[in-house]
Amino acid sequence: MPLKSLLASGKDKKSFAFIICVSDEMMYREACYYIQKLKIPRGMSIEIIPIKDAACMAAGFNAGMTETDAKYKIYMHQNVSILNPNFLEDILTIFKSDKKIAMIGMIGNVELPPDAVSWHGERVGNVYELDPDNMDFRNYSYSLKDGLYDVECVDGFLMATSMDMRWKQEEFDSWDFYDMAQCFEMRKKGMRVVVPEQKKPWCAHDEGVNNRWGFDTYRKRFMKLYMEKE
Amino acid sequence: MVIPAAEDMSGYTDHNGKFTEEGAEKLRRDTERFYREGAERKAQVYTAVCVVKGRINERIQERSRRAYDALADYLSSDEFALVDGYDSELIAFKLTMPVYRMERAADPEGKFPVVYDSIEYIDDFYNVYMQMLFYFRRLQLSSDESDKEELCAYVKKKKISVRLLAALLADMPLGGKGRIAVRIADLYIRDDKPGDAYYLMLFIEKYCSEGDSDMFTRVKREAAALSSGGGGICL
Repeated sequence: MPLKSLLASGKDKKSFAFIICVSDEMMYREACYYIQKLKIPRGMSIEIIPIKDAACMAAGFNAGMTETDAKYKIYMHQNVSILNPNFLEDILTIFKSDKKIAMIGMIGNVELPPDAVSWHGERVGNVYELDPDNMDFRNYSYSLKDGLYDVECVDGFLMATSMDMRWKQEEFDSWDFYDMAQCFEMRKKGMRVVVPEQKKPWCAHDEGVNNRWGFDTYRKRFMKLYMEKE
Repeated sequence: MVIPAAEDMSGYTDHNGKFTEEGAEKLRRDTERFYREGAERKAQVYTAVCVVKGRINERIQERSRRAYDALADYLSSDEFALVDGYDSELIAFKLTMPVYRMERAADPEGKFPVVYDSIEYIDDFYNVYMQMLFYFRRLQLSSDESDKEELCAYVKKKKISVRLLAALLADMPLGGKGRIAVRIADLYIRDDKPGDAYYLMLFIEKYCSEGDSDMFTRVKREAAALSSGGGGICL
């Protein structure tokens, strides 16, 4: 079992790593355009780790995780643009508010619906597509007073972590449910998974039609592993 | 923000929106059936999408007005409508039909390139669609000169007409369309194309908020004054 499979965190507390599985250069360039515009908190640094030809999302993320010592890792899809320039400071505010917060997402389910299809239930959070006119970030920064939701799981388009835990690439060797599995694993360890109340959407997620035919296979696998009663 | 379920779940929940035990069981069964039936149709849908894309590519490759006319007709056919919701490239490509017809009507002699002239295959158009979405969103969020220059270079390289640009902006899931349109119209004016600036303002006006009206009036006035100096309303 690799060392990183244990619940741990990168040693470098002054660094953020963006880990992105890349299959489309145009999308990736746009994701990087916004990352490079982010305000970097004083004394901290960022790195971008593209993972090309990943066999599956979890395998790509595991590869990225072992490539960096950064304590804070932002696992994201290539089709995500981080629009909130204060994003890094804002996630630090959240992580520093409670050491038990291991993961922050942008959209999540407080309670996952019984069939594990996240959009069949109420979700919390925000994304550009829901609120595209509300984009004036002048004078905006997140405050804990804005609110924070404890959720069962978050959408994998962006997941920021303060702790390393190996992604379950053997069970979820595709592009679905690796995200929800990671959330459930983190919570099993007693950690919190949260979504901030975003008065302005922090990210855009340019998703096309979902033609991933394997979705149901992994949905069933996820339900068997995490939702079936003993 | 609380985001409601994407589908009506009232058949599975109580009056507080909580899944009942019975409802949960029914939802699991219904979801199971939905994906099982989807899997049975998968090969059929995939084949149909490939066939439709093949027909589109053939017509683009013919490189004639006759083939382009036939392509625009095909995009309103039942065969296309049957599958267009299953694929992002097909969804985006549907937009080329009204654009082509507008380009054709504005230029009956065929002097200027039309939307199909700047692409080789259907996936090229999807790339144009996504790249323009990115440029538009950049313009919504900032007025960096480098972003504007990049957009101008791309529009010229891909021979994107003002009609296509306006249709893309109107169609895309973007905010701040008024501000984006004004920023682009200013670029057209700077590029000595006041007619294009004017066209864009007219086309996008209906998608804009009241707060944009002063900017629109200013650009339209400026564009009209420059056009009347001999430029006319150009393509």
